[in-house]
Amino acid sequence: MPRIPLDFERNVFINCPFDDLYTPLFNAIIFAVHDIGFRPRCALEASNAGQFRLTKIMDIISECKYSIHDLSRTELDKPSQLPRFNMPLELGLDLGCRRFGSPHQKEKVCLILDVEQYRYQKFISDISGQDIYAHGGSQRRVLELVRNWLRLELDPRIVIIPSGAKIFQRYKTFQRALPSVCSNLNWNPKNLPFTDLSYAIAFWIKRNPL
Amino acid sequence: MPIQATVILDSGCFLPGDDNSPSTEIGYFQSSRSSQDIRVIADGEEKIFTELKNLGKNCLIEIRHVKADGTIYDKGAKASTTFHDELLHLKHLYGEDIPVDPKKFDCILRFDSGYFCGALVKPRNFKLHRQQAAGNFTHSPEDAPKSAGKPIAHNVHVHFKLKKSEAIELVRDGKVVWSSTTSGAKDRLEIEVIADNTTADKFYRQALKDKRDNYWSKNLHVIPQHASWVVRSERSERAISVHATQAEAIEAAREIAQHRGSEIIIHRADGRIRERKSYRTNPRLPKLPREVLFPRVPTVTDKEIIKKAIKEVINESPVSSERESRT
Repeated sequence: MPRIPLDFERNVFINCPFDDLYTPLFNAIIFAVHDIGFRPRCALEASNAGQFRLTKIMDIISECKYSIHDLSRTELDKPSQLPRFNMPLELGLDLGCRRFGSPHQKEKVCLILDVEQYRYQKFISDISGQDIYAHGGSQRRVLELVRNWLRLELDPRIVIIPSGAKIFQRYKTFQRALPSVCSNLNWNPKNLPFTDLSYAIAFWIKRNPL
Repeated sequence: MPIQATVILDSGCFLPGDDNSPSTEIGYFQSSRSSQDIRVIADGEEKIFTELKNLGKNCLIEIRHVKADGTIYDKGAKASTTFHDELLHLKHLYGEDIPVDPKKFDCILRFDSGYFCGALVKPRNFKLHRQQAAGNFTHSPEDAPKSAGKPIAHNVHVHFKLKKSEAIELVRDGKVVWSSTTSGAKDRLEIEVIADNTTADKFYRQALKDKRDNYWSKNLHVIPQHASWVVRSERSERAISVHATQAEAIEAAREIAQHRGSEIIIHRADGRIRERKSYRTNPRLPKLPREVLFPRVPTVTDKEIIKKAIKEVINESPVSSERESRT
């Protein structure tokens, strides 16, 4: 019987672009995942571990029941004139893990996001049939999508689950506090290490319960 | 100086409730005539109140936190993060959730505010009683004791912080029968709701409408499999039934779930959960805050330094003062 990783049912793998343009959406997703009571994980964890990156990513995928895949960056990279394949590759790894993995990994669920609703059909048509949601580049929308998706995984009769609007409001409050936090810690707000930001969000939520 | 008031519940059963109501209701059995139902300790000294000797039968007792202006805190009770896990759930003893008949209790205690915590959390063994042909229940020494499988709260504490001129009132069927203002407490107040030795018998033999043991009431999943839809018990590889359409599978699952008193989890074609339908009589508990999960990987900056920085910023921000106080 394969051993189920600790907190498997609460880990959310985030597969998204790590560029400046996407950072506001990425930060909003991290906040939403924390505020609903889950733990965000992503490939940026690998940067300090000294481990082969793809192995680390596969380890993270295998430890997360949930995953969010954002296929926003499929256009050609300006300097190289080539598309970025990391996001579709990690989506493929995740779907493969669900298909061929251990019994608990067959329960994996994913949320696939893109900027526009049906754009994916032009570049990755094999995933037709999956529900793909468009966030249109909006933080509020992406936050609501993540909340509505994870909300079904908790029992609202037992746990307080904030609404999408409430999480957005709390995120705005956190964003207002973040420059002061960065100033206290000598952090560059435009280039925050993923784990530091994740800790900061978790500490903020802990001290600002609903 | 606020008064720390604690209602100590020695025994009781959280009852199913209305989702639209913030109230938390607990079924309670009266003590025998020789015992006091409620004992009040004000600043460490017991105070005798004859009106609290017997709570009465077939009645509703509201425990109200009354503000200085006479209005009531009524937004619902809160609970510690570990509270839900510390409670003994009937499925720990019987292997599944058991319907409870609220009419079988002597009275119902209702809380519309307060902070619930488990107390005296420790392991406990239960003696198995089996129904005999004559209808009575007996315990056989040959039966091994049943364990809850985890430490459980033997008492439940409900905390209130009483600001100046605020009070705890006990209201029976709409009429105030006792107010904490008569206790003379200046610093702390304990209100013990006592259950004597007869409670366990009443609870386990009378309050449970239907006692079945030794089988599990698992949730049912309606999931796609190849070109069909199957009904499957949770954590089971074997399909209970196979159907051509999702609607047929849901209907089959509904019949089983109604009989078991369990829940149906309906999946989409891609495996994601579409919706849940519950046919379970769940105890109504105070809702818990979501758990905050911290990363498990090392930080670049020391996490204690991050914690300190967040704390400093929050203390400077007006947001912290806007937070509701615990009631």
